[in-house]
Amino acid sequence: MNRLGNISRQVILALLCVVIMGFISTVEAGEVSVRAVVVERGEIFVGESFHFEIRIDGSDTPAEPDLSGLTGFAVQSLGGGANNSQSITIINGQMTEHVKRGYVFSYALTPQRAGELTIPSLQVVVDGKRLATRPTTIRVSKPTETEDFKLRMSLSKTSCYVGEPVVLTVTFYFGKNINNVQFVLPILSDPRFSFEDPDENVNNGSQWHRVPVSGLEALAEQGSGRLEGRSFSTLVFRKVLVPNANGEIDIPQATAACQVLVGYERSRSLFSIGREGQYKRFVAPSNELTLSVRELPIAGKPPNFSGHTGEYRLTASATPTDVNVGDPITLTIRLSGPPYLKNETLPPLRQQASLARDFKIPEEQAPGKVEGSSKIFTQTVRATNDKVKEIPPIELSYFDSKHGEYRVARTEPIPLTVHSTRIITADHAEGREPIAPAKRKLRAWTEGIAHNYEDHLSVLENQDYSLMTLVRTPHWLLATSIPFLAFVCLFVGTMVVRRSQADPARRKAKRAYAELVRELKSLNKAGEGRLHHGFVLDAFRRYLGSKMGVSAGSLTGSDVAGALRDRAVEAETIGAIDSFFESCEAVHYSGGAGEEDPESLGVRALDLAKKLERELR
Amino acid sequence: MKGCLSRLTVRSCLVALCVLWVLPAFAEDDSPLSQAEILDLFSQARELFHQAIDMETLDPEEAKALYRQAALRFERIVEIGGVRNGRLHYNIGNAHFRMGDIGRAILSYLRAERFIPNDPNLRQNLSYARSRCMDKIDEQSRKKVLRTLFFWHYDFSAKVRLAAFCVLFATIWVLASIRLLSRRFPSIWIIAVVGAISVCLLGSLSMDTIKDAGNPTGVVLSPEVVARKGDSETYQPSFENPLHAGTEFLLLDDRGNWYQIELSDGRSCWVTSKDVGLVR
Repeated sequence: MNRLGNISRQVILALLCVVIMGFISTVEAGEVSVRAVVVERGEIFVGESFHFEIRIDGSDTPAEPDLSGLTGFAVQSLGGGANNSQSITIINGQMTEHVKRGYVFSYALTPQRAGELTIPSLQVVVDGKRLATRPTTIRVSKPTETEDFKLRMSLSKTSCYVGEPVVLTVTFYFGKNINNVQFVLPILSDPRFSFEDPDENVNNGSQWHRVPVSGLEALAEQGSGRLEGRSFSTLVFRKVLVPNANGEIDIPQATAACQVLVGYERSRSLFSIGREGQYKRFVAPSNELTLSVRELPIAGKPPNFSGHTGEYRLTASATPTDVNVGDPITLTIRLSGPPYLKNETLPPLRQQASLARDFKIPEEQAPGKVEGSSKIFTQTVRATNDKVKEIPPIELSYFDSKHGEYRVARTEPIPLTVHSTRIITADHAEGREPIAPAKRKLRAWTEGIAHNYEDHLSVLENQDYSLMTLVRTPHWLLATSIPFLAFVCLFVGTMVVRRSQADPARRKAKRAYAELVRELKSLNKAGEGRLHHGFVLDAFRRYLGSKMGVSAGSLTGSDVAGALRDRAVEAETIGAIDSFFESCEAVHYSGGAGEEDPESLGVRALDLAKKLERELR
Repeated sequence: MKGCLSRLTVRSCLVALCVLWVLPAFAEDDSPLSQAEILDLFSQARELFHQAIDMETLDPEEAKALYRQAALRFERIVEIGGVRNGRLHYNIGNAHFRMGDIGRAILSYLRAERFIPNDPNLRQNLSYARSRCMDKIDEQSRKKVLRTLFFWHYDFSAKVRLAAFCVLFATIWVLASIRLLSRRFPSIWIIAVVGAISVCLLGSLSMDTIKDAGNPTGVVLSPEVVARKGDSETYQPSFENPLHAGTEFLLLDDRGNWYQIELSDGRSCWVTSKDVGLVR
């Protein structure tokens, strides 16, 4: 059962695939074929290229065709490319996909003779199969000159030497309005020549056109001219031919093709109204030329000859001509003579032995610049010593084609004044000789680090100083504080002195007690008999006088009682003072006889003074 | 009796002065290393440094080892010997520089700068070491202005500033005393100028003390340190590139393993404390 099931599933799958394959048809795998096609449909002329293609259908990977059998034509490959296409059609629900593969090789063929020319069967290898095109025959006409169109070529000289430029001038004369002008110059593919475009002066007021010339372009000047007694409009262009082989070289016929307006007819196009011009193609052949190219003679060929052929002239100038050794001198060399200067070069000046001996010449040499009919080369040179008197002649060996011999074009020597180099200083400018040798400023070298310190006294000394050092270190503290303290003391003392000087009574009052003590002591020391009641009384009077700010002369107890009472002295003290006065006076008036001796009076006076000091404070 | 008293007072003052003068000699000598040991360490370090110089072309690795030993001995004099000397730190910086340790070299030079800020060799070496630092951080123009305005703070050592302050402070009071007595000379302006200068010096010395107690400067020591936006590895880096050894900064905040630092261009970030050293 299982097996049957598997088979049925496979059958269904197969049928489904068939249906799908039937719905979308297989890729069309048509046969591979090769054909040659001449694309140009008009008349083909000798020397005029036409477009030719080899088309391969069915493959886009063919090998390059073998064109070796193609004779009578100049062949120029224009490249090749795949030519694939794809389309899908659906008819009655059935979709068909069409895929076409192909490849096209394109060439420009230029017939080299008139008549029936056959493009033979050309072989192409496609996917391993060798296939061949069918031979094709084309009719090539010889261009004929008409009254209205003429083409002429001319050479600047008919005979030249190898390497000598010759200018080929092509002039197209036309008597009708033309457009789409094309020139074919078979000589331009001749390997015996190299070709250059001359520098045309396009700012001469003429009209200039870029015209196609054998697949290239040339600048053609429009103008007018006469030929064979008739006036024509002209188109003129030039090419510089530099032969690199000798012999009689034929310059083959060139052609100029153009379209000419021949009439008008009503427009058949839906999108244009009115008439449209009808053009006819004309091809005009040119004359043929022969150029005789001769080999340069071996005899007399200078060793420094570098291929300059023609007529050359050299002139030179230099600025400045009054210099120091080593100063730059701009040497300007002007080369003229050849008609075409663009490719002209000057051999390296370092090869000029006379110049290289006394001058330093850079290795690099600037390319010249064409100015008019000359080419200018500029080079900087420097005199190497002060004995140089001139810039020697610059020489150029060339072959003079006019006289058929090697010659040397040379410049005139340029007088030069060269001074020895000196370092001019202010002293020298002032004429103070001799000049000291130039000194060089000694500059510090900033790289690297300096040496270690190794003196242990300086390295191991403790340098930890801060504001706290003042507190931690007594001598720093003293050094700072002593002047300050001294000032404070001085200030206080001064203030005290000044205050006491300002109020003498007060000062006296303040010192009264001390004076009393001193007086009594001195009296006591003086010995027996000196201490008298009267002296004690006088001393006490002076004390009270000083204290109360009054005269001490005849003070009594009652004199001072009022003042003492005003100053809040206790009545008991005032009474004691009064009693003291009475006692003293009693002794004094009794002739010294009394109850109290002078010492006890002195002690009493001191006690009273102490008491007063306390109460008056 | 009073005369005896006054004589006693004068004598006591003289004795006190002598004691105060002599006391510092005993007070400063409190390091565990004796003077002879310090001298010995210094001689060893000097000798090792010379050996390293001789070895540098022959065996660079051996030379580095010798430089390291020399630096360790110099550092021992500082840390155990308690010697605070600019030239000693300068020598340590040289040893580190020759070892290729730009970070520690700059740190040592900055420590030396606190003691010998105007030493030409120190300036040259510090400048050259800074030029070798990989991070180029522009200094804020404000700091440049401060350096110019308060040149005495940056260009003179603490010892010079302290001595100058003491001399000027004493001068003020001497001049004031003279004026107190003479009442005319010197002019009050002279005293004011001297007073202003001494106030500047006092301010400068106070700044040193405040700075030591507050936000010290520091240097990145590790070859590369990723500076972060916070005090954890989980924070994003502050800059596209890590900081490199020798980059200087100001410590803003100390959170144990992490420091918040301010670079010389004013930008701040966090770095781990093990990667940096402080100029203390």
